[in-house]
This record gives sequence, C-alpha cells and structure tokens, in this order.
Amino acid sequence: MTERVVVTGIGMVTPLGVGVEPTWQAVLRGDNGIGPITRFDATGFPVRFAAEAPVAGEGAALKAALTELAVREALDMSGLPGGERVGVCVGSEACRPPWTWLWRKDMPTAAEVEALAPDAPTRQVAAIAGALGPRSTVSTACTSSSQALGEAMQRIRRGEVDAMVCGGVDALSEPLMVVGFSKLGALSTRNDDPSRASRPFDLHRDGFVLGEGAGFLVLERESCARARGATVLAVAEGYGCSCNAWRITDSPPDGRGAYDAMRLALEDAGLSPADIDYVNAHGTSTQQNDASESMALARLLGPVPTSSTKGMTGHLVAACGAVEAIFTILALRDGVMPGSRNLEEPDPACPVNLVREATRAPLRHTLTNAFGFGGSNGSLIFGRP
Amino acid sequence: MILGLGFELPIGLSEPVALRHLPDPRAGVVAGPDLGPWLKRRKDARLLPRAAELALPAAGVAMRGFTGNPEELGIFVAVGREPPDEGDAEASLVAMGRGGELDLKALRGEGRALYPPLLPLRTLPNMILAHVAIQHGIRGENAVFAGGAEAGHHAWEAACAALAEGRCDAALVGAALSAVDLASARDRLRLGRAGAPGEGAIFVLLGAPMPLPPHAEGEWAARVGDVGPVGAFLGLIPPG
Repeated sequence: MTERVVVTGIGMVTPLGVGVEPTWQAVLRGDNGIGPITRFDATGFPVRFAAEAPVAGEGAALKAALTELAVREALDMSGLPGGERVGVCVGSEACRPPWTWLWRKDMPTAAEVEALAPDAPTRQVAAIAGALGPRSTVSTACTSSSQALGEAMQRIRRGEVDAMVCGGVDALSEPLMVVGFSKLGALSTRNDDPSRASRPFDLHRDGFVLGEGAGFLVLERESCARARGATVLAVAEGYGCSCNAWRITDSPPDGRGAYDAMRLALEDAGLSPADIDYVNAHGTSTQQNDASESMALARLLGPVPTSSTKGMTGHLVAACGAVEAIFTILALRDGVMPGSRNLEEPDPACPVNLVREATRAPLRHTLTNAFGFGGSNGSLIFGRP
Repeated sequence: MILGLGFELPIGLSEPVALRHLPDPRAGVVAGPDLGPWLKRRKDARLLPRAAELALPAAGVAMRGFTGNPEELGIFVAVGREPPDEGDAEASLVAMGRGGELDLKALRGEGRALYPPLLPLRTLPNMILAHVAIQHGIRGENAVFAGGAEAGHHAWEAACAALAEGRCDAALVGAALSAVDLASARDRLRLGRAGAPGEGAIFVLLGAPMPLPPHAEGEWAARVGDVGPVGAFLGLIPPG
C-alpha cells in the first residue's frame, strides 16, 4: 500500500488578510474582501471593483510578494528542511500578456522578462525552500493550483521525493484583465455594491470578481513528517482530474466533467460519497459554473453540506485551488464549515445543500473543487490526521 | 508503446516528404497549417491561438490509429509563455496608445471597444489542451506544464505515470509553441538566447509507459529553430 501523504504546512495571502489565521477568522465571520480597485485608476471602466490582497505592488513584483509571504508561512509552520528530496509544483499563469510592453520606450531587462514567465514563481519558491528536487509549473487557468497539489501528491506517492512545496499565485486586478474578462461577460458588474457582487449559487449572481492571492502547502510522506516530529495538519487523501471536452467558454449543463473529477478523487481516496462531510465548491458566481457544478454535486454526493468561499475572497484564479484546499483543511482542523456570503436567494437551478453561515460539525473528510476555463477540472479530498 | 506520432514543424506535417527535409538548415515559421481536416466546427478557428493551430494537426495525426474510448484518454501538454497574439490585438493596441504610452483613458473608450472579446481565452496557456481535448472528445486525466524544454519532460513524465498507475489506458502527450512574433524576438534578445526562434508542435499517443525521448534539441535547433518545450520531443522523430 502506498504511504500516506500528509500536510505539514500551510500559508496564504488573500483579499481577507495576510496569513492563515487572520484569513480563516475572516472567513468564519463572513467578512468581505471585495472593494473598489486601487491598483489603477478604474474610472470609466465597465468593472471598477476587485478582490485585492492587502499587499503593495503591481505586476510581477506583486506576485512575487504574495508568493514569498505565503511560502514562508507554510515553511515556517512545517519546519521542512530543503534538499534534493524536496520538490516544487506551482500553479501559475504568465503575469500579463507581454505584448503590453510594445508601449514601452525602453527595452525590458532580462530580469523583467524572466519575472513574467509562468514558471517564475516556481523558481522563486524553490529558492526560498532550498528545494533541489523536481520542479514544475502547471497552467490550467482556474484549475492550476488544484492540479499542482495533485501533481505534488502523485510525485510523493511514486517515491520521487519526500516532500513538495506546492500551491498557486495570481494577481488579476490590472487594466487589461479587467477589460478582457468584462468583454467576455464573465465579470460581475455590480459597481454600486461591490461587497455583494460575488454571490455563488444565488439567483441574482451576475459573474465573478477578479482577485489576488497566494496559497502554498507543504505536502510530505507521512513517515518523513513523523520522523522529524512535524505537526500533521491533515491527510491529502485523494485527487481526481478530468476534461470537459465541451466548449471553450461554457461548462456542460450536466456537470459531467466536474462529476468525473470528484468521482476519481473519491476512488483515489478509497472513499464513498457518504464519507464526504463538507464540500468547498468552486462556486464562481457565474450562471454557468454554479449550475453545472450543482448538477454534479447533487448527482454524486447528494445533500452534502456545501459552500463557496468566493463570496468573500472573489476568484483568485490560478491560486484558488490551493487557497480553498487550505480552507477545507482548516474546516477539518476546527470542525467548522465556512458559510456562503451573499447567498440571499438560493437559485432553484442549483440543487445543493448550501451552508449559509459558519457552522460547527464533526468533519471526517472534506472535498474541494476547482474548474477552469477550457474545461480542466480538479478535485481534492483531505482527511483528519 | 508509441501508438501514434504527429508533428507540425517548419519541415512540414508528419509526412514522409517532411522527413526528407531534415538535412535542410531550415528554421522559422510553419506554412499554414490547413485546419480544415482538424476542426469539428469551422467557426472554432477564431478561438485558436497560433500554438493551438499547430497543435491540432499534430495531435490529429498522432490520434489517427486510435480506436479506444477517448473519454478514457489522458492528455498532457507542455507550453511556453502566454501567446501574445499581436495580430489580433493590433487595433486595440493602437487605440490604447497615446504618445507612445499605454493610456488608461484610451483603454476605457476606443481601446476597449476595439479589444477583441475572445483575447483572454486565446491567451490562456491551457487553450492548446482545451482545443485538442474538445476536437477529440478527450476527457481523462490532464495537465498543462509551462516553461522551457523541461516542461516537455514534465508532460512526458506525467503521462507515463498516469499510464503506469492505471489512471488511463492511453495518453496523448505533446507540446506546442509559437515564438516567431516581435515580443518573443525581443525577449530572446534580452535573454541573450542564440539561434533562430521557431514554432511547432509534436504530439505522441502512448499506450504504455516509455522512457524519456533521447535528447536531441541541439541537433535539431538549426533545422526548426528554438521551439521551447517542443524540443523535448524532437528526439522521437525518426532520422532520415
């Protein structure tokens, strides 16, 4: 039997705060992380709000700052030493389309070019962690960091490494992203009330809210973690991923890709649907995602208690899978399910047992979903240590 | 076992005639490709970034002999940085500029109107995987690895692991990159990379785990240019 993979460190920066505990307490209170855009003058833009992290910076420097804060917190908690048996896997996109540089009068430096590469955060994490093992970068849009965690689990199970530092980072509150995604019709336009803009599974949802953040975890072979006396936060029990093979912009109405990802994660964990006590849904607050995911949840897991924390954090895109995986781990640790901010009138088209406010419950196994533009789906299951 | 191999490179598309060009010191741009045979819906062509245009024929040829259930097929793809799609965005870029600077006021007005609505989707790195998966109905385990040549190796490793561990019966693995645009040329200059930039795609259909392909990037660079993660697969193409 393959040895278990355990979580020994977590770190995050989200629009709700810097660090795991401030963010988690804000989640349990149902706080709002969404407000007017401050990164640039958004006057006259079709969308003038975002879920910005409380960290200064812009572009590649902001992503690097978010990464550093989250990775150092996870490593401090874990106490993981670096070395050849430690790898890195990061979910990330390129910082912004490099063609914006066509407007620059000066030539970008080599360092600037390198900093915008999708694998720049991976190199940064490896340097911080002293990780000399395999390192890779996963770029599947909103599924990126969920798949990065899955890849990390698989590398540990195969015996290639003893530990992986894995997670994701993204920062999308910038002009071209706001214009681009608003022209796609994917963003909420609730400019008059940003704090109520992200409303997963609500009848009156009108799109997602672009966000910024980073989430990183230290995953480790259980025997190695125990041998060095590390505190085990949770067991990474299962991972499943699938393709929709449907359309670039839409999710299949029956949620078949989401269903497959969750089913495969259950198989991987050796669990049945009845074993799952809480789901942190992808729940983006778009019409299509929430309806499609609901169909998959209802079909596979029935009335399992479910919430989406994106009502508080907005959509952290490449980072959301890792950040929400941390929320499911904290839910296990504390025996409490986060609520669903802005869920005022549940959509009848979303037949899900929604948790409205943070609720105490004995949790054995929790599941988190991440689904991306283009149809890649990832599901992760965590259990108590 | 390798069940299928397809490539779209400056030497041509996976046909014997293409192999005869191997000794030629060619580099640069792929002619075409003709997407007609590789698109279920013609209108999907407007959604394709250049690297996906190269990937579709290459993946299509690799899949020719596949008779299994594509819903059980895995797909693992390596990509470079986000494609710039300058041509698409040209009108918008012109409108965004004032006095040689990116001007937010212009972006709010005319620039926004001219901004191609599908551009965000065309520039996401996972669009290559998405288009190939949609065209062939592939619904199994998947991942997109980004970076340089090492991304190709990661895709290969992930495909082999998925096969060895029984998570899929067959896996389509490959890479695609187009780096012959102005921004890429400028980046290469700044990074001090020698040789010609290139573009291309290679896909391999695997039916069982295989060792990594022989390393042949340097040997190939003069023939097809620097094709980033695609280079990890060039050693698979039979010589002469």
